[in-house]
Amino acid sequence: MFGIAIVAAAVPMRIGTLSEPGPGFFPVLGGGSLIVLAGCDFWGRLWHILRSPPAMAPSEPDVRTQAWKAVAFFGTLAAYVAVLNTIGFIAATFLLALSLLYIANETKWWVSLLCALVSSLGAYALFDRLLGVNLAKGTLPGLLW
Amino acid sequence: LDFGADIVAKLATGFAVALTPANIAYGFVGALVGTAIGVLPGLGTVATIALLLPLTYHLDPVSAVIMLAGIFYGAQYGGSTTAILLNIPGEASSITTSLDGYQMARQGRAGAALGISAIGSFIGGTLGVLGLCFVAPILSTFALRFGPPEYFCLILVGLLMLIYLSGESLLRGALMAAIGISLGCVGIDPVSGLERFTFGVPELRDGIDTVAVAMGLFGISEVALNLSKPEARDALQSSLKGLLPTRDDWKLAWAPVARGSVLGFLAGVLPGGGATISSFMTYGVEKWISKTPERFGHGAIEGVAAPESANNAAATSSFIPLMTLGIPGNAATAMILVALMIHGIQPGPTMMQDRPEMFWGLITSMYVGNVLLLALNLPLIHLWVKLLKTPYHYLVVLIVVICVVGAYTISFSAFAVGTMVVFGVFGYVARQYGYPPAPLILAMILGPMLEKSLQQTLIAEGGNMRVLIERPICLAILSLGLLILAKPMIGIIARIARGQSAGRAPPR
Repeated sequence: MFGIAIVAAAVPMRIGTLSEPGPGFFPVLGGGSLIVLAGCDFWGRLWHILRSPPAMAPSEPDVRTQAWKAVAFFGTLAAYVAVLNTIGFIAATFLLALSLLYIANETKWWVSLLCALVSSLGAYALFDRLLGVNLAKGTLPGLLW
Repeated sequence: LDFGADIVAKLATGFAVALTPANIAYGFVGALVGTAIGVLPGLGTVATIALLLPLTYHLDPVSAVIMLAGIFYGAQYGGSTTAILLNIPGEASSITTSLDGYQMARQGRAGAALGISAIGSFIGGTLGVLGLCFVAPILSTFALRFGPPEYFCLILVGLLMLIYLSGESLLRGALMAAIGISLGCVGIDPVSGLERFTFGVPELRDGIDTVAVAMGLFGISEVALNLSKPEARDALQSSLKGLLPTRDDWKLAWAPVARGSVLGFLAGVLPGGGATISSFMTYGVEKWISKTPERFGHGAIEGVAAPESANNAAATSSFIPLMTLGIPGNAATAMILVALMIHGIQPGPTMMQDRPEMFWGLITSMYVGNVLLLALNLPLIHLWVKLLKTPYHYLVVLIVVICVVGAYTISFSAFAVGTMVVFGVFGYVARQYGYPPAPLILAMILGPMLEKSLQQTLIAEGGNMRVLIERPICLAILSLGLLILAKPMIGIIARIARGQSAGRAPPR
């Protein structure tokens, strides 16, 4: 699908000719290769599934995994990106660290709180104050950082 | 003789740059932080460079390069530490180290394994740098004859080699490379100046940021994998004693170190996975020539000494194609290339003439990095062991906070952090299904170079592709690539043929 989207978007850019390639020439080559390779891979996987019992498939992800943790982890990071510019680095990183410790099974609430506080303030002190990196300040009234 | 004297004079220039107190301090910090991050389970050289690259943004180019060399070596060494102590190789090139290193650790000889790993790495790295001093100027002069068709062939063969060496499946590696090439097309077209695939987003005009992509693919996805597959880590319980190898250890290890360094250097020059192929190759050679091959895999010190010397020699010699041709041979040197370009440095055949202080400063900083690492790691091994015993949930916070700060500093906006998260999700899913991330990142960096050289070739030759087999250097490069790829391709075709004939065979 990604390959088809690339080719579809590249064609209107002008592909040109071999002696005068246009801006769409290389993306069409890349997207075209992607379509062919993805087709081969899909066919190979289908062939494999049809020929062997599903439980024997070597590339199937481990069903015992705690996939919810990965989902929660990425959800937390997405939320961090959404609020970073609004609430600023320190508050956003504090909440991020707190959430990560919860996802990673830290059971003592005061340890989580302390760790989140140290990591957000420590990172701010190191990068913003010491190394001069301008971290996000936040736009909410009352939030100076 | 003149050539030798010339090299010595240029090395002196390089040392004058690398040995200023400020640059030694940057090299020291780079090696220290590089090792500390490289030691964290699962984080290899590429992830470490990507995570720590923002630390160098505010430095002048020479100091930044010196710090990067420290980070590069530190990350390499850190990966070996986890391989020996936890049986978790930081990256593919440390897999062979874990085979015997971990067994040595279980037998209470972790100190000797770490010691020989540090000393072997130092010797391999130093011999690699010496080789680099002599080979790079020769290749650099030769590379001045290269035009766009030669560069096109070199990049293509390099990419194919990496795909071949990056994982179990050639097809999946190629698929990831095709995605990388397509992603590399985002931004302004270098010839026409037209915007491609930017969808009106101003942050995409300069293309998708490679550092954010690397952080997501290698760093964030690794954390997600570790969170979703909590494995009981068999942390080292025994105490570390006798870090320096004994006289008997040395009797067994000196020859493997020497052989590993030479083989590693030669393998590293080849495009593809230099450090990885060299460690596997030397391990195989040592086992093959050993009078007691049955000891391998059960704690043979040669099984640690040879691959560690080889992967460090290869890591150093993999800089040769980068510095002389401007083409990275693997994902780690690709990240170094990105770092150099961020600092306005374009490696290539003219770098030695145009920026001698940079060229020779980088080479000598590798010497300095090696020495610093040896001086640093033997006394600090206890600290790394303590770091490894830290509960993973604290390390998660540390890694993620470094990642978000690093990504934010790329463009001082949440956009790069978002890019990192998106590629973190992509990397997580891809790795779950066995798609290797290294070809994607290398193809993303090499894609624009490949496009430029292809366009220049086609325009100059009026669309005549025969030039690729008519020019001797092109023909030689393509033949070499075909020769190397012929064996696996024949294997794949034979497997398919066998599978199909088996599939057609009547079931009863």
